[in-house]
Amino acid sequence: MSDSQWIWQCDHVIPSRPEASRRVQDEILEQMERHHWGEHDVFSVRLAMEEALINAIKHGNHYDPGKQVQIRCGISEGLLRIEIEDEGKGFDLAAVPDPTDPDNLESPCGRGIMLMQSFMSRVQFNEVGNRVVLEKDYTPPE
Amino acid sequence: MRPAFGRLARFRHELIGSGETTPMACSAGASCVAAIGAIEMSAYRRLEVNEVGDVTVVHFRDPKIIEDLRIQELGQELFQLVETEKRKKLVLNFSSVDFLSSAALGKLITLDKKVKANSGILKLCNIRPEIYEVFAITRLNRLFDIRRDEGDALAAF
Repeated sequence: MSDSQWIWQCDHVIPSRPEASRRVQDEILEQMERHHWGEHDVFSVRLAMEEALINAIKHGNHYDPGKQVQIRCGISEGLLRIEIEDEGKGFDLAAVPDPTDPDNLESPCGRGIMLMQSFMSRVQFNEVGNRVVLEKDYTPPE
Repeated sequence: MRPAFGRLARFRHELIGSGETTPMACSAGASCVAAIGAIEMSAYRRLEVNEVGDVTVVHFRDPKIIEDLRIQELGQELFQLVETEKRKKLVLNFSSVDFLSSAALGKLITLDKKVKANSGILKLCNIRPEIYEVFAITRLNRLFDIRRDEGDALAAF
């Protein structure tokens, strides 16, 4: 991230516990509201962030107390960007089944990535699969 | 009297049937009944459970259904309604819910399977637009019977 483009940014390293991510999430959402992001954008980022962090903590780091998650966020006038990186082995994005396929519709899991991709403007994983960049374009008020 | 909460209902029957305490005869009868009511109310940590006729209407105590432990508890309480309490007609009212994660959706899917396995009917209602969007994107609006409000849901049985 280039520091000059952001009007607000943060950089945190947290342990692999969901409650540890809560404070960082609240901080980011509070800053969105402070910078007049709309309700739907705030909901979208909240949802995508929750899914990405649970993936990092639960599926990436397996709740290992010896592993951490890095969360970096930047907010500019028209863009929000979040980078989340875990210390896990990663995964193969292409191997994730489509949860909307009728064969998978009644599966109790596997929707997190789809929700991230649907509610954010852009989602990019690194090749290993242990780092994700979520970007949300600011939605002007109607 | 229709048992409402399994072991709590048996406690109520024993208490009243013993002759030692009845809602009217016990000098602390009101307290006994109130205490039983309080126990019943607190039997579900994540849910508020009420009956409208033969339909069980469930509200959620947590406005944000996100944390793993809470979702596990919520799931267990919902499953208890179906598998232990044998509730056949169930309405989940989401009016107090302003956020939920995909893990919560998973519990709802499992609940739906259990309801169907017990020859029951499940309906959802009062889902705010942003959360309905989550159901629509994941195509779960095709799996669940989602109604606009509780009145619509109850009328649809």
